[in-house]
Amino acid sequence: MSSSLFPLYPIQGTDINGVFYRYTAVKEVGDPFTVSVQNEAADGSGYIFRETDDWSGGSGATIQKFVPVPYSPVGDWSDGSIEQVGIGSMEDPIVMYSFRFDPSRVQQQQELPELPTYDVYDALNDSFVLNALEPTDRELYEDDELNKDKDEEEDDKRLETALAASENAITLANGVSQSALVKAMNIATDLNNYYAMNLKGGQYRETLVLQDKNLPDNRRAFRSMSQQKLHTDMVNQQYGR
Amino acid sequence: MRKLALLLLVVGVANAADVPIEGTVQSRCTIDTDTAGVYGNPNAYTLTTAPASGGVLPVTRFDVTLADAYYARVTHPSSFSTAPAGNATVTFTGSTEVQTVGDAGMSGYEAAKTTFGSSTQYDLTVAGSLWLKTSSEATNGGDKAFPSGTYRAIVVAECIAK
Repeated sequence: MSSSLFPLYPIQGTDINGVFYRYTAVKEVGDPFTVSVQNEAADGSGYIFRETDDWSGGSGATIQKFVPVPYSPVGDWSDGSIEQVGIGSMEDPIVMYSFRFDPSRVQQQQELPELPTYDVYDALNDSFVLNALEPTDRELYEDDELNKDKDEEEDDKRLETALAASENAITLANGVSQSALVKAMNIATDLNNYYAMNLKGGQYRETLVLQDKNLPDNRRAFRSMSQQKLHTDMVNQQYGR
Repeated sequence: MRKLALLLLVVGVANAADVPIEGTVQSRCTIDTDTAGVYGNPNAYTLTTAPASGGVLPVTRFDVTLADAYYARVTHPSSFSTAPAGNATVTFTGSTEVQTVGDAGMSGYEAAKTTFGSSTQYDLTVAGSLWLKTSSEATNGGDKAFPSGTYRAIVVAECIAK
């Protein structure tokens, strides 16, 4: 079983009085196949409209049907669906509703939009402004002097701490400066020139030309080889070979 | 006694009247032209309703409110009702088939139709609407070109009581 849903949009003052549908049933003769065009009731009480075509007896065809129904508000109708049961398929479905529209039943709804509420800033009620406008309290001023002395003491301590750490900082900085120095040297040597250097190449052609002519045997070598053989024979004779 | 008999005769004559009986028979089978056909002209010597050749198939609708009481008969044209003079022998061919049914019970109509001559007949066993499309093709003899002008042919649709 398969079904396809299609929406039905409620419009005020509209009453449905008929359903027109059209589709093509594709099936083999003898196969059981039913198609139901239906709408559920909006209140969930079942189907408010349901028309079933039983194609089991014959072959498929294109069907076009108008089913009148008593006038009922579109609000009573829920989304529609086409349900297929059996062996077959459905093509090119169209479902349309016949209706009447009564404009007098349309309720005019003029809802005022909700306006956002803004807090109006009153500078004269701002606590910071009021504090600023208060007359200067002498005692508070003296307290400020005391706080100033405390701040100076804290600054001195920070300076001492900073000086104590300066030795370490210089040591650390040496490493950094050495790296920077090496980097600067590398820049000075401009290694990129070497990287970018291109060796001029070319084609080295063969300059020697061997011309065909009679090459004599190396008699000297031949004699040397015969003497070597003689020597070898003499040595072998010593050992009775 | 004789007097009484005369009196009765007089009374009888005075009461005589012709009582009319009238009745109206509503048609249980109506025929409408759903789509008028158009001849396409794919070549000089052919007129056809085939959509592939620029034609339009005529569609006839039968509405039956009484099941198993009528036959639907459609006859495709065998001559032009209107045509310019000068045609040679024109050969007409055609056929009729179900285009759309109004009830699933009509799905067997196409298989059960009977054809004789230029006519195709359907047994309307189910109440409802039935759309029949008819094709028609006219070919001028000897592949001679049709003279220019308007050509009109008629598809005859009948509802025949069983």
